[in-house]
Amino acid sequence: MFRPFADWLADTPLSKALQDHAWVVPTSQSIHILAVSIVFGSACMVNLRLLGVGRSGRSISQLTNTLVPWMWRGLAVLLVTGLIQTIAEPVRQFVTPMFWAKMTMIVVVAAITALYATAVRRHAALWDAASSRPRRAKVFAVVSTLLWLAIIVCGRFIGYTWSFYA
Amino acid sequence: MTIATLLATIEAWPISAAMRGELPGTEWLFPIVETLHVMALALVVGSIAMMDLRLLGIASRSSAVSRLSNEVLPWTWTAWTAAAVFGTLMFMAKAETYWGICSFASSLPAWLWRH
Repeated sequence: MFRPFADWLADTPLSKALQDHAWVVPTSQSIHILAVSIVFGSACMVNLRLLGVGRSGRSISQLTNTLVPWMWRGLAVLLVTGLIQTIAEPVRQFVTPMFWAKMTMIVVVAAITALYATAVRRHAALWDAASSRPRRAKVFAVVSTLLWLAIIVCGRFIGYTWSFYA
Repeated sequence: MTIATLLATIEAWPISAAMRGELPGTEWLFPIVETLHVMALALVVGSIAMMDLRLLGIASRSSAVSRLSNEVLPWTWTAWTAAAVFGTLMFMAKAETYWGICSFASSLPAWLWRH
């Protein structure tokens, strides 16, 4: 269903220009991985803190207000580099179910992160004290960690499986 | 023993053959190990970035450097150990090829220099 669109995109001057420069995709992929480290590192710090794992240096609200903005910056870099890679190699992405699973999970994880960060900003004291912290804090921590892990797995496996679908 | 025979010996180990997907049921071993390697790498770089940005005074300025390093560095080392184990496994799959790639050759001195 997306194959004709992918073929059309691969034939556009912009895609051709990106394909003509062999350094573009590897460079973009390297920056993509660095941005993954910012986003996934921050997500793990926040989520492990919510689960009570590791040393607790900062309060939940301090940690969340510091790290979530870095997650958004990292995500912006991921979107730009991901877009470059998709325009350069559209068939590889659009024919692979893992690409669509990845995109869906990114939307979900971004939405729940935004909801979580807003809740912590509005009710910092409530979230900082372990006794009054809503129980959905741990649910968020587990779901968000699993989603990020699954997103990384899908990202890597697009490269390993796309040729089966193309 | 020369480097060449050492590399050939490593490649001949069954675990190296498994990493190349040559043993039954190991076809997906390399992609799985590589994915775990990427996850560990993300945690190494992500946690070091937090520490470095704090040292540069760009982020987390409200927490003391010592507090942040106590909080973050244990995770850096744990993830580093995992990345090193998975990286070694991938190296063993094609030891001779990887030895010849200069980006791998430069990644070891680069790490040694940092410490």
